[in-house]
Amino acid sequence: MTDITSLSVTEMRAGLDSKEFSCVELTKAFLDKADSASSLNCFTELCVEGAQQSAQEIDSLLKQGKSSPLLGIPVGIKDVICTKGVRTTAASAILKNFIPPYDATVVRRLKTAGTVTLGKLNMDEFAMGSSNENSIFGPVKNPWNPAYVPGGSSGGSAAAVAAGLCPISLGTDTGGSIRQPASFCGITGLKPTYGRVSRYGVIAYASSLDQVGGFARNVHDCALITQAICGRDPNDATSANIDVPDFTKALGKDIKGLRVGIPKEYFVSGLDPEVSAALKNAISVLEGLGAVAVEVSLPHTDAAVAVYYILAPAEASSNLARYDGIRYGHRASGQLDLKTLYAKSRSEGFGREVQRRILVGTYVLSAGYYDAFYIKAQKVRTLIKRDFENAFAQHCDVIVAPTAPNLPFKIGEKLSDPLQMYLNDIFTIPVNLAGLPGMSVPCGISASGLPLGLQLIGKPWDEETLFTVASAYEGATDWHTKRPTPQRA
Amino acid sequence: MISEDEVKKLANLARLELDPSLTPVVTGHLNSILGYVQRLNEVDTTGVEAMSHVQGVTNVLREDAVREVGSSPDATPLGDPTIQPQAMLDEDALLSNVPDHSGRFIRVPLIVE
Amino acid sequence: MEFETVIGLEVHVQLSTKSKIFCNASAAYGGEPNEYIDPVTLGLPGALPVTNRRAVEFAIMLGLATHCEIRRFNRFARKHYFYPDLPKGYQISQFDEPICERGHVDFYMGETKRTVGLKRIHMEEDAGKNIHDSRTAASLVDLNRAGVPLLEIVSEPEIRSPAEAAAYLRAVRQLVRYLEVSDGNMEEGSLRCDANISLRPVGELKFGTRTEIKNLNSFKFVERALEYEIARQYAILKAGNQVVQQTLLFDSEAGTTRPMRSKEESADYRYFPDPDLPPVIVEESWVHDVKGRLPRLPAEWANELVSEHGLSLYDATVLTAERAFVEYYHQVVAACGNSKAACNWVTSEFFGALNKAGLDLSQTPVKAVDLGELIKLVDDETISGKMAKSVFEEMFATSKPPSTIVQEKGLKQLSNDDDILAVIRKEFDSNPGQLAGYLGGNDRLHGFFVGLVMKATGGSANPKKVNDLIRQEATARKSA
Repeated sequence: MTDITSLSVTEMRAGLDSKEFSCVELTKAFLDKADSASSLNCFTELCVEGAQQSAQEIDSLLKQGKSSPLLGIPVGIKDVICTKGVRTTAASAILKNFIPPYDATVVRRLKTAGTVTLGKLNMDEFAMGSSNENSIFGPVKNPWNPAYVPGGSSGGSAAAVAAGLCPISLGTDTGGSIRQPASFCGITGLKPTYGRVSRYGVIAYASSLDQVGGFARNVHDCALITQAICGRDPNDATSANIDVPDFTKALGKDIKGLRVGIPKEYFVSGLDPEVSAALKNAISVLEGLGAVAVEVSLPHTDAAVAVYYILAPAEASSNLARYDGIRYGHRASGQLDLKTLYAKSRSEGFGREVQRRILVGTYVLSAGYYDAFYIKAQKVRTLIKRDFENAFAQHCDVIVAPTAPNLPFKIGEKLSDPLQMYLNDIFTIPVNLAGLPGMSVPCGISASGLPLGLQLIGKPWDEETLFTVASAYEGATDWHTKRPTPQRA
Repeated sequence: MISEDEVKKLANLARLELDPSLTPVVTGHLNSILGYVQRLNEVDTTGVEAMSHVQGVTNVLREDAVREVGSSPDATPLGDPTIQPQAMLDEDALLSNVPDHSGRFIRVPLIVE
Repeated sequence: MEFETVIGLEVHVQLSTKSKIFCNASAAYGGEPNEYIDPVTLGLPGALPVTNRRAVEFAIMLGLATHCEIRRFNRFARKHYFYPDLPKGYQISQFDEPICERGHVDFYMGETKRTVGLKRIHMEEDAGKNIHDSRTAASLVDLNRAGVPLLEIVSEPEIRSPAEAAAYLRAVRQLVRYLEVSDGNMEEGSLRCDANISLRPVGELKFGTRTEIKNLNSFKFVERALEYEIARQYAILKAGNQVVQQTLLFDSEAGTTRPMRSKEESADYRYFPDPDLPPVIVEESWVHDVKGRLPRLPAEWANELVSEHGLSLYDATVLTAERAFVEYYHQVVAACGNSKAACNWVTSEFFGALNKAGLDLSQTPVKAVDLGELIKLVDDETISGKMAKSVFEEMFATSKPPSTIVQEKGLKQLSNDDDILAVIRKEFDSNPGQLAGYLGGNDRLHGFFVGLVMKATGGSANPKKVNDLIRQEATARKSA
């Protein structure tokens, strides 16, 4: 019998609808698999009871003949997204025992779509990191080689899908936190346009950049989960009132004549030769499908990481001010005066990288530095957005680029030098700064046996073109079918 | 360059208690980050507007209405897909996460005004 | 050396919206501790604010009523500080882009018109409340108030005395009540005041070092705190010393000010535009629309009362103190057509009775139309002024219309000339000695006969007629 956990969502749909297997069976298969793969450290919490209970409910709906694209499909949810009654920690000691009294809008949408929540997925603390090493639960391991990082911050979400512990999952992307781990784990991940998906109930890191998106093992599944979470939310003023198209209709379309922009600034020093080669191959494949490759210029690329490491910490220092041990979360023990209580609770609760970013953010917002750092960064952000606007207006329909400048690295390799870690996001950050949709699809395997990702960047609200290109590329390649060999603990 | 003293002041402002033995390391990291972001000084931003909101959406306002406890029921499979405005929370939702409380009050160390 | 007092007020007005400024929790006063909470109020992880349209509209209304310029492009900013009543670690406020700027508030001190300039009015959210219990060394936090919309009205430092500060504050309260954007209740904290105060030598243009007195929660405390602070600063300056710039609290029991411990550290609020809240564009059409819906403001009412109703400035001021007063007054006038009498009745008998009974105008037992009818009964001489007072007392006690009371008590005034003359003739004839004296020129006896006639008619005779007819009858008898 085939391993039902290895099926695509479409295949699972067929199996559930034809009663080949029940939702309870499917759910159990995934929970068992998650158990056996616990050494990857993907989950922060497995919702065994809750998942079984909703699987039973869904089975009775299926028995009534009800069906819907995601009805009965198990999902994993990044632990930065609030789930009512299910512990949500942001992988931080400060929220170690926090149980949200409400569901994030994306969780509500998934529940309504009929998914089964298997559990919460490991991540970098407060989504700050590119390696998933900054977690109170310990690092997540890359299913392709457990000595390597899965990328971050949505490392658990990517690794779980890559290892077949859930068919689809939710992550968040502030500077590349969906695309880079998707690339490192050899799966598909999409960060929608800023405003496409509600952030309500998503623990904020950098509010002007954060966006929720989905991971999947193929483009079609990715379209299904993206479809389920998009749309205007009255609880998020930054969620846009723009119609959500049927993304599956964008799949399987011809890309003849489509202009694919290649930013010349992305081929500068520091780009790993294997990454560069894989990208060139990918471009050839797209050209083979009839697309036209054009060189474009994004002149302010070099400034993007600097802009990001001013704006994101600034917003983070503000967003994380609420974690004070007063109303919820970790409170330092002992008879302390108020000020000490704050400082102790926060220092005990936040990890080093989080504290580092809070300090940087506090600095750039403080009197005397605000204009030179924060306002300056916001101005350069305008220029970065304009770079993309110009490229799209004059030259191309979609931009392709590497997702990361380098291959997955070893656990511990970059921990001592935060700046080197930050530079890992050089190709993903500009997309967040410009608020654009970005996607990573598998495009190669390195000599060392680790996956590589191709990044597709679209115009605002044009996820459809990304799906079209990704689906055409997927149809012409077999990278998405490669799976890591199961690792023994 | 930022000094260790300035880092201590920042920590105080952010209500973080720095481990004194780590202050030099933290200062070093901050200097490397702040040194790196200085490259923005080379970008000409004359006449460029600072961007605070990327999509240019404006006037997203809500009507003045109270949402009572329980007015936004939990989502159910294939249930109503409408996302309701969030509702008020009951006492349990408050008290289940509050580290220290006295009745329905949240208790904190004595505040001196 | 003589010193001049320089005062600027920062007034916080709590808006009377149903829900909070950035969430759907109730903005009601009171409630069980932490009853009006939701994810936003608690600052839960993942909660996001959404702006209440009515709060913005109320800001525009107050801006228009104070002659401010209304900003087109508005952003909210985060103001950071740690405090247990501030759930998110920042307050959503407006920083360098307030919705209203450069306005003024006009008011009278006695007969003198005063104008105090406004720097700005901005929107922000209120904090929760902390209750301190020194016995248990704990403070208790209630977040019901956290997130209630506030307008902060910042005046120019153009106020020159504690009395003027109180008058300005009353004028602000009057405005927000007319606009119905706030109940202006100082006891419940819907209206709160911080005062900046400094002294400078008369003729000096530069401001002296100022202190800020926080949380003045009654008109009386505003005056007392400022008076105390003027004396304190005066003594320091007289002795040749420097005033220390600091934030003070007023101890209403001791009548003194003391430095606020929590404000000793210099603040760095790290303002930046709130990325969760898209900008609010106030288009000209929106301003125009709000303008069209503004109620008449006290100054307009008062001008009309003086110029068209012939009332004194004093009476006009009394009648326009509250929108409900002047509306009541106008209903009375509409019912009786006598503006001066209406003013007298409303401001003396009616307000006096309300005051004595401890009632608010909204709880009045006397309807405006009934008071108007009462005045009409006096004007058409159905009853005397004296009778009217007792009828009014009865109206106040029973809410019955005046006509009913007049009928029930048979209080009709004796106004028929022949009837009154008959009584006068009878009294003249019964008192020949006094009549002779009266006819002989002793005018003091006029009063004597008036008294007799009034007594004989049980007080129901129209006194004016009695007066006139006694003289008429006396003249007739002299020439007879």
